[in-house]
Amino acid sequence: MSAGCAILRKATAMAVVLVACLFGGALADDAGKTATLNRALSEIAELGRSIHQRIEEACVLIDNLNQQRELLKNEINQERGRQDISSFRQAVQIKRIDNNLRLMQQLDAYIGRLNGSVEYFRGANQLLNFYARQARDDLLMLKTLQDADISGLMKKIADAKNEFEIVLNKPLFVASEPYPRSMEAIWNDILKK
Amino acid sequence: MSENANITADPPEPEGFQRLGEDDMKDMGLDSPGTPGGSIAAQARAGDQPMAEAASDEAHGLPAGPGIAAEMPVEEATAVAEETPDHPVGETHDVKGPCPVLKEIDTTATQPEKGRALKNRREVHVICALVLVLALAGSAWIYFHRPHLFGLPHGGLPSTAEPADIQTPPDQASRSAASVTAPGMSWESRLQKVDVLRQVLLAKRAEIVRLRQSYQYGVLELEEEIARFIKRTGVDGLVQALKEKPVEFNLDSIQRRQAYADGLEKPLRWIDAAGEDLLYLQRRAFYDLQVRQAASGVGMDAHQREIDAALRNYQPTTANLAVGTAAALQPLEPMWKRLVEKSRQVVLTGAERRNQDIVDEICSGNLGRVPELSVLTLRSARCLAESQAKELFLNRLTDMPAAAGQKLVEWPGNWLCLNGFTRLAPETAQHLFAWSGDWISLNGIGELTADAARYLPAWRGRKLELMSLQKTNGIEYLAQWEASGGRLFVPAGIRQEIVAWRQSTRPVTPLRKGGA
Repeated sequence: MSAGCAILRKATAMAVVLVACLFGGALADDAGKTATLNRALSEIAELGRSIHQRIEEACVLIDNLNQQRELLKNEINQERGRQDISSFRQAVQIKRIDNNLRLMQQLDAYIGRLNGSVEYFRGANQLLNFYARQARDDLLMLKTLQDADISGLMKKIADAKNEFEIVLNKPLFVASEPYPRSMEAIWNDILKK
Repeated sequence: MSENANITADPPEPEGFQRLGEDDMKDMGLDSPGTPGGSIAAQARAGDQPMAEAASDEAHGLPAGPGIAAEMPVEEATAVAEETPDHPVGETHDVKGPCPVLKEIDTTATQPEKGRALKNRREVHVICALVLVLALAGSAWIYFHRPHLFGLPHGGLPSTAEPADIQTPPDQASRSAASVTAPGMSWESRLQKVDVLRQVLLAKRAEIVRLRQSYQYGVLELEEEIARFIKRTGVDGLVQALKEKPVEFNLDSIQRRQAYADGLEKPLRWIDAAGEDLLYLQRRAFYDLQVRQAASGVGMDAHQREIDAALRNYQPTTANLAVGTAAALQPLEPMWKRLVEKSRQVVLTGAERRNQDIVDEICSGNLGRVPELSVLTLRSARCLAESQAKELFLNRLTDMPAAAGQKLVEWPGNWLCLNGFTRLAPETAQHLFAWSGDWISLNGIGELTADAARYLPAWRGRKLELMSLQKTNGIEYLAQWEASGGRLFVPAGIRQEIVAWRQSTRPVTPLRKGGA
């Protein structure tokens, strides 16, 4: 009895310790996942704020540039009315119109690129919101079932975060690239309106 | 904060200047001003100089005053030495000169309050002097670097200062690496210089245009004279006309003035191109300045180079504004044919000879016979416009050519009487109501068309007499001008029409609406 019991007691004790360890580990693991998800959510929120700020910045610039574009366009129309110009060839003979078309080319390029940036960041925000929603769902899962596989989501969030942080640290656009619209196309647009 | 924002933002306070003042005060061991419970002297030390002097005087029972204050150190030292209780009286009497006494005060410190007060007074003087010097230096710095604080325009550095000069001081240059204000200011200054240069060019342009108009008017004037000559003499052959010296000279002058006017095209074209280039460069740089925080690849250096080059190249120098000399003189034959054609439209009055004499008198400065003038020629209009008279009574005139009218309204007088006019042509009205004078009399006009009256509301004059007016379809213009502050003198019938028009246009109130 004594030897057998001792062995049995020892085995039981070991089993209890093992079960306790396993259960505790699982509990600890769940708590870690919850914390990870919460951390990810707060990082997403922070990133979202930065992106929103960047979008705002771009929108302010777009508004300003559009106002200046409108001014240039009005000047062109005034010159058109004054000098009775109908063709592009005639138009570029007038220094003010020629210069304004060049400036509109520059502004159009900037506005287009800024719009591209805004689109990109809006897309980024949508993706982050999508991940945040999934993270909250996973949190509920963890709370209810004490288990959820979050590794895939965390990797996606990390990838997205890396990408957006890199883009956030870059300028909104590259000014030195060639202007996509021709002066003639801009002129034709002015004539249409 | 974006750099763009910094361009327009108020410059920061001169930090160095503020720090210097505070540090100085601390280094010199001064208390903060107005410490509760502190002595008057201590408070005064930290405050202004007169207060310190007065407090010190008060403490020592001396009358306050600048003269006393200056003499204080010596008197004070002697008094302290005599009253020192640690030294036997005999010892004090043994002292032969003042130096040991003064030394004793330093070592013994038996009168610490008085000694300190003395020292403090010196300190106060030194501090006050330093503060004054610093204040002057600070004011000078603010005046030259922040002129807008004095109501001067932004970036209003002396015109000789180049943008590069602004950044050259070494300490400023090292600081500007971290600061976004310095380059922003530099751009502001540069763009402002572009603006200033454009304004200068535009002013020069207006000046040249005026000069060209003057030549063109001169051409018209001489052409009119020749046309009148042709009409008067019947000489319509060029060879024959050239035998008359005045005609020959007039033709020669027409050619020359025309060539001058044509030659001014060159500087005008240059100014237009320069102005457009400057505006383009300014706008292009401005757009990039706005986005440079948000974009990469913005070539502000290139903008700077181009703008600086433009600022150098587009100065209105003599060389740049050189008149075109290539303009060929107009050939005489076609010119003569045109003048013969023009002479057919000339109507000579019976008093032509007399009128010519009056014009000669007016142009020589004698305005005594102005009321007798019956035809306003271009020459007479110019001479009248250049006269110093305050009132012109031109009641013999029944009409005036548009060009003459345009010239006459350059006259800077007060009262223009044209009571001989029986009708007012729209183009004459346009010129007349652009005149800067106060009072126009048109008491011969019986009918005023709306086409002529529509120029009236824009006239800034004060009195208009239309005492013969019987009929007008432009009553609203008369009423509008009167409503804007003008005094209109019209017959009773027209007055009633004006009143009726006003009543008909009065806004309908809810009460009247309900009553109706």
